[in-house]
Amino acid sequence: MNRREFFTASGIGLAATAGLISKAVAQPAEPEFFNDPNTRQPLASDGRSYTPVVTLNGGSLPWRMNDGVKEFHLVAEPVQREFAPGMLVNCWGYNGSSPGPTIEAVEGDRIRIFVTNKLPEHTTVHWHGLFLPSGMDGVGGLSQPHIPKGKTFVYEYTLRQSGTFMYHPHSDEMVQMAMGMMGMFIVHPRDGSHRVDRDFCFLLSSWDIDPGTFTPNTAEMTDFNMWTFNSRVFPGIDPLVVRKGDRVRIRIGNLSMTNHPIHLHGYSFKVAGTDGGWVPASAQWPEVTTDVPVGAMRAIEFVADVEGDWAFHCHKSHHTMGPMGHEVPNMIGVDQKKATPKVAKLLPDYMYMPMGENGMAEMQDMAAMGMTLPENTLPMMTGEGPFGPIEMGGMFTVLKVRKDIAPGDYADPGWYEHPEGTVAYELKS
Amino acid sequence: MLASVAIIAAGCSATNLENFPNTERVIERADYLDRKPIPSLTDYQEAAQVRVKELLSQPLTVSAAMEIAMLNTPKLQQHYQAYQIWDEDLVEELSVAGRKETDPTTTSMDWTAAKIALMKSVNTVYRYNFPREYFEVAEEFIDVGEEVRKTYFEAIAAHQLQAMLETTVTATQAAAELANAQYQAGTASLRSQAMQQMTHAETVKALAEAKLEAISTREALNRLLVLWGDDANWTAPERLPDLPAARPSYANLEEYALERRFDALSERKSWALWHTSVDVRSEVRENYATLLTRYDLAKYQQETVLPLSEAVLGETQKEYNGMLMGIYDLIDDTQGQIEAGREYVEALRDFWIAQAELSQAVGGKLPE
Repeated sequence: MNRREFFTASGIGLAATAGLISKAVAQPAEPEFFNDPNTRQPLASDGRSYTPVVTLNGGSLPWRMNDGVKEFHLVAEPVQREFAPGMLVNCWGYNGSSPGPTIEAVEGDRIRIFVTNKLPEHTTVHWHGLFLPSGMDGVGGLSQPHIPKGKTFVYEYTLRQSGTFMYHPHSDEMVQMAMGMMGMFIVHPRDGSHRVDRDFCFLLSSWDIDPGTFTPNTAEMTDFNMWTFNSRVFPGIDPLVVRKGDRVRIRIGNLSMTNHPIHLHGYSFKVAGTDGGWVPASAQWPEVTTDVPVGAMRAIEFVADVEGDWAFHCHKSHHTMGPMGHEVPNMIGVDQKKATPKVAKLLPDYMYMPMGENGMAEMQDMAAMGMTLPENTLPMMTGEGPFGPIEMGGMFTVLKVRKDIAPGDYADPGWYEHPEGTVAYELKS
Repeated sequence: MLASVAIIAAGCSATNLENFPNTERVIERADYLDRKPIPSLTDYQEAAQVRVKELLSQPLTVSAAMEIAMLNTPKLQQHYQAYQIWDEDLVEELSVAGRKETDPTTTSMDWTAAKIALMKSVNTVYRYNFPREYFEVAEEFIDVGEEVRKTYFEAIAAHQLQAMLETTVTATQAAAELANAQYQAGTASLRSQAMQQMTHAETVKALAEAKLEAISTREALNRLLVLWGDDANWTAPERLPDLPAARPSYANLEEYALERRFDALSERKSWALWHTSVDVRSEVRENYATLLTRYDLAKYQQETVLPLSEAVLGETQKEYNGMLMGIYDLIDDTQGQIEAGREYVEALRDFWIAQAELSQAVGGKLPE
């Protein structure tokens, strides 16, 4: 176990040793890096009553205490992010990852965040939704000088509210956000209220990464082809694993370029928090889909009282697909028999197959047959479930509810074993 | 002016119809002309016909075409007659030389024929006398040779280009059929259907032009080789000779040309020697530069552009696999690959033509 893994495994270790660090240390701690896309165990709480969050395919940034101040160290830098096995993206992010690690603290905390800029250009960090002094708001040129490359700036303020927030650059913002610079910022209530058993969080983002390329095209405004939860696409997004009966919260922040109607199967939920704070119980209503607007956060809550594998996804069907050609001719119902031998003759070394005549489901069969795609390109639809191809991609994952899951265990329990007589079946004639 | 006035005046007095021959007399005269007996074949002609048929029994190489031209060209035959070497021995000597030409890409049959003819004539007519006319006759051989070489490569290339364009027509036909099927299924408009048909129509027209070009260049060669009837139905290689692996390189080509070129040689006896030498040197330099450029372009097309077009098509196939591009993109890029191949054939043809021109510029035969 190296030093980095040690920190990962024991956030509490850091907190416990924090008292040993001299308050005279003005330099930031060694930053923690998040180079792999696995979901980390939540950090331990700082001793107060709250449930630390689980960041999908990521983790929370360890802190150190320095004379009563929680200190964090963010390093803005180019990173490589695996969107799913088979696709690596040249992003910009923080501490080795896009999105950056989740910053997690408690209402009333005094926090100090060191931001070291290792990007090839200047940057800033804006703390999206937080109440803070104007000079800490992170808008380059407006509230502070831009952080030149190679320099470290310090943000320090007291957390005056609790809820779900985000951080992202406000400096060449279009490029830096399109490259993946963003992170979650969770502030737990100091009084132990709003406590749940499992608390998940992730960010929504949109990308234009042409088939066969590795680096997002940051100039795109509308025509995106990759839609991610925490810079991951299905089947690269980890499942949300919960124990039957758990009270569950899922916090979603949207830093993509469009709204996302996020839909959970099998349950109704309530929006318990927005970007503006907690929603009073009297103002909540049940729903199965909540639209998360651009630049907004939603925290949905429900009691996971029904076991099963429940799909959880954006309800824009194109957002649950891998990269696809939007300009391909519409071949639905088109009889290609006459032309097919001619095309095959033109391409003697290629296994030509006419496509699209009977829908696109054959796509996944073709991928399974080993038809080559452009390098670094994921299939339009993919993923194998217990009953066959899932035919998804993009913003799709599974809520897995089981009764035999231990508290604090987030490991994938595998596919749900349905009780007999509870699975749709073929009518035998 | 005076003469034409006189003719008009004469015409005025000749309007009496009785002075014109009547139809019967015209027929009579024509009949007489038709019955003019065809002279029997000479030994030369008989031997030449046998040799020509032998040469035409194989796919026509450039050296075979050249030997046929040396045998059949009337202008050259007149020289053989004038030199009194118009016999089966000459045919035999040419065929011996022709059989030594084993390289299917090059030929110096014109040079060889000129040499044989002139050396034989030394013993018959001129007796070691080398008048200026002598060199001019040799120059005619070389000029015929250049024409035959160029026309040969044009004809082979035109045939090859036409065959490749037929594949393009297959591609556009497939696209047009898909557009028809799309329209029938309700996924394409009449307009986009018509657009695909238009694209196909363009390649159909281009193919007609390419076929005509193949016929025209073949007939140009037939005229140069004086072939008709069954002899005109010769077969040719499907493809142009390959580009030589090594870039051509000739040292001291200007001096070599001055030593060999008949026009330069003939000028040795004249005051114009200096001026001709300047022209010869310049022509040789230009033709050599042309040859090297044509070689480099053909090599570039072969080693860089063709693989690029294959890479594009390969990646398009992958994008088609992923439903990232459509069938029309795939068909378009097969056409792109065919077009790159056609450009290679054109570049290769231009290289061989440049080689023919350089051969002529240095007097009919390139250095070994």
